[in-house]
Amino acid sequence: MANQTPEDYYSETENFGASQYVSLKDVVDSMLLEAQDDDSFIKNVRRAKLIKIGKDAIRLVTRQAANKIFAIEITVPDTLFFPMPQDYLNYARVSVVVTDNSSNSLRLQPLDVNYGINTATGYLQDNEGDLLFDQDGNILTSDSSNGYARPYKTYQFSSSYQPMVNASKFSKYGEFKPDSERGQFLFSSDLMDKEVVIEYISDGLPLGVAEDEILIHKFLRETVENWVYFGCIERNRNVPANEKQRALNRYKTTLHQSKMAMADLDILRIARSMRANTMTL
Amino acid sequence: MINIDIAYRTVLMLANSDIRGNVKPTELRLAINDAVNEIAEEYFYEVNRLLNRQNRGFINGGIENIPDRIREKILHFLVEDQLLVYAEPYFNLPNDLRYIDSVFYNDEANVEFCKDNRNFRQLSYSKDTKPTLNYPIGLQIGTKIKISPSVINDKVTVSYLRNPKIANWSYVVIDGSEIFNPSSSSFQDVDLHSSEFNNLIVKTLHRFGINLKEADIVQITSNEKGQDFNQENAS
Repeated sequence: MANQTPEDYYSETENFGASQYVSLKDVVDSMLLEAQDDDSFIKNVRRAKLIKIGKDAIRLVTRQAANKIFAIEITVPDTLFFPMPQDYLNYARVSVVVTDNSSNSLRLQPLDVNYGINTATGYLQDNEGDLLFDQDGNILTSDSSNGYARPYKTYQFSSSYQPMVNASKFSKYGEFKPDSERGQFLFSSDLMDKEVVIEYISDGLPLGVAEDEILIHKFLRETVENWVYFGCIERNRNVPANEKQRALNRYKTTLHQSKMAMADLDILRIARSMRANTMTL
Repeated sequence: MINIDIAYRTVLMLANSDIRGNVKPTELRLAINDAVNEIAEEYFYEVNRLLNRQNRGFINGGIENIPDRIREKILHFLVEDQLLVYAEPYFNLPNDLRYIDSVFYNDEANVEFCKDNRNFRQLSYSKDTKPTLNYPIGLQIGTKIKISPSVINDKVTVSYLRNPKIANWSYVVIDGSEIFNPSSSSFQDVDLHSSEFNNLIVKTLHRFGINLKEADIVQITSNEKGQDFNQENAS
């Protein structure tokens, strides 16, 4: 907002931190301005193509450099499965909220991923073992013995010494499995009715949101624009190969700069971490 | 605008002779309007040709930037921000429209025009290019336009290049002579950028040369046009 006073800023919570971001519309409008130059390689690129490549660029750069983790908190339902968020790409960490008795405060304790939770699709068969088909000729399926039909019960963690037990199967706080096929998280039975925080990576493009509400960090803006430019000329016959190579190199350079800027590296935190490792007990 | 009376008298001065006879006002009107249309349509080719020269570094900036000067001549025909009338599912275009310059929704969102209906439909259904209120798309169908998303049914304005007005040297006949009458309701000066005076005279004369079967006029005007072209393209 060009004429926003400090009073305007602090009076609306939705203004907080807004200066970190630019919208996809800003990026597209900026590229359209560049395309108006008579000598530009992208002067005849249609706007729809800029928007399409702009969205691709946000997906790509968000994945490669954004370093942005979204988090949601849910209560694990009795069914022990919960749908993935709308803009979910991959999980970063799934934790349960537990009470720390020493400080009487809440802490996040990471859950263990357990790919042993069965998510297989069950084929229906008759009593002779032959497959059953529907009227369209497709195999009839059901949740036979998977985690959707039979909630997964975890081994109980025991702090006592049990030399004959495979401790790798234990999980102190519970287990989960992301089922990408069906877009669900499955949880172990000990997490029922507990608060769980799912931290995940988004593709940066929430569905059904207008171009001026799709936001990207300003550290990524130049990288996104450089990808859009490269994407516009990449498959054009009349653009010289050296210009394509230059554009690609420029994108890679700015991507590297964006990664460095977004990495949140801090010498004091590194020093603190190293101090902890050398601490004498 | 170019003063049609001066243009007419210049043509008469160059074309009339005892042998060739008199150029009549009705013939002049036809010849001038044909020349105006030719000049107005040539601008786009000229801009393209000169932009190629500019991109090769042969054209200077500032006031002598020739593509910009030709664009000024094109913009002589620009009509800005005319509100369009909606008649579901189309918007009706103005009657004097020749080429669309831009169409805006709500003064902010530029409507991007599609090449054809296939392109329009493809953009409408593709997930990443689906038109939005920020980025609507349009398709021109004759004298109407279709805009998507279809919730847009008002606040659409068009800026366009209009047809040149039909020049008319209006006159009254007194004692058998045509006397110029600029106060007639049918009077209309030549609807071109004022810098086109010489070009207009040459092209009008060229037509009279053909009309009168005068090879010397055709020859001279053709040479004139050739010289102009060579001058424009000299490095």
